[in-house]
Amino acid sequence: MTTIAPNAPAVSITFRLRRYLVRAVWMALLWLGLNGLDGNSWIVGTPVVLVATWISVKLLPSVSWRWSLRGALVFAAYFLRQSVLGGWDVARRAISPRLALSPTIVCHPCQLPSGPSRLFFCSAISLLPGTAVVAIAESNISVHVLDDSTSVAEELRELERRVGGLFGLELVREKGAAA
Amino acid sequence: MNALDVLTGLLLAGALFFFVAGTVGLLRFPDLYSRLHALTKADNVGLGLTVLALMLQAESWSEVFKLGLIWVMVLAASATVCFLIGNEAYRRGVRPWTRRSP
Repeated sequence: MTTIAPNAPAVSITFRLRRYLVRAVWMALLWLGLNGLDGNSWIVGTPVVLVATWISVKLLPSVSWRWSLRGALVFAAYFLRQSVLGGWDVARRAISPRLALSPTIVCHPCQLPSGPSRLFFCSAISLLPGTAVVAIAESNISVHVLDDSTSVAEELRELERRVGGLFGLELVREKGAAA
Repeated sequence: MNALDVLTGLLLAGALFFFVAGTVGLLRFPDLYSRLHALTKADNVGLGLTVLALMLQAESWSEVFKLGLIWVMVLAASATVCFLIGNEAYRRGVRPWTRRSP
């Protein structure tokens, strides 16, 4: 069998077509959201949607995870609450006269598999109270912490569990790990 | 001046507080890493409140959608840039400031 791209995995034409089609529908909806119902906008919109679809499939060939709507909402509520707390926490430290900081770097052994869920976890860490990722080496994540007296390890595990839940992953956490 | 305008004003005042506090943190915090915290976290909340305030004044749902999209994209960019700057400094061996060795 001769294929144009010998390294490409054997994916049937219909499957690939479907993938492009689904992606194109999302891009078209996005364009619709940005530009409203004005028909003329599609003079620019059609090529933009086609190029965006092509780039999107090139960069992220397959979406291998599913978020349930309920899971996404639960996580969004948690995330909003935590990011407000994070903003408040850092604002309070910034304006406190004695500059209440005691930074340190902690290492968090990540249980999420490498890929989208781990990437999402690392991004979320940077937006939550007092924590920012500075290095990712294999499954060890180095986190810069503003205040070493807070229970960061516990909060990181909580966040990781929630991200796992969002991606439909059950984390097996052996007792005493990540102490 | 109706209730929505009052709420918009309150949200903007809150946003202002977080932006100012983030900037104060940027100026006062001792090293690159803690300044990253000040910028990413306080400014995200400031922007979130600004976006909420503007949503209340939006004339169509499409505007509300666009504002929401802006916030989500800035969040994603913020988290990514925070990691890129922090990681580059860490790789170059920039030592974090600590209480014990100022």
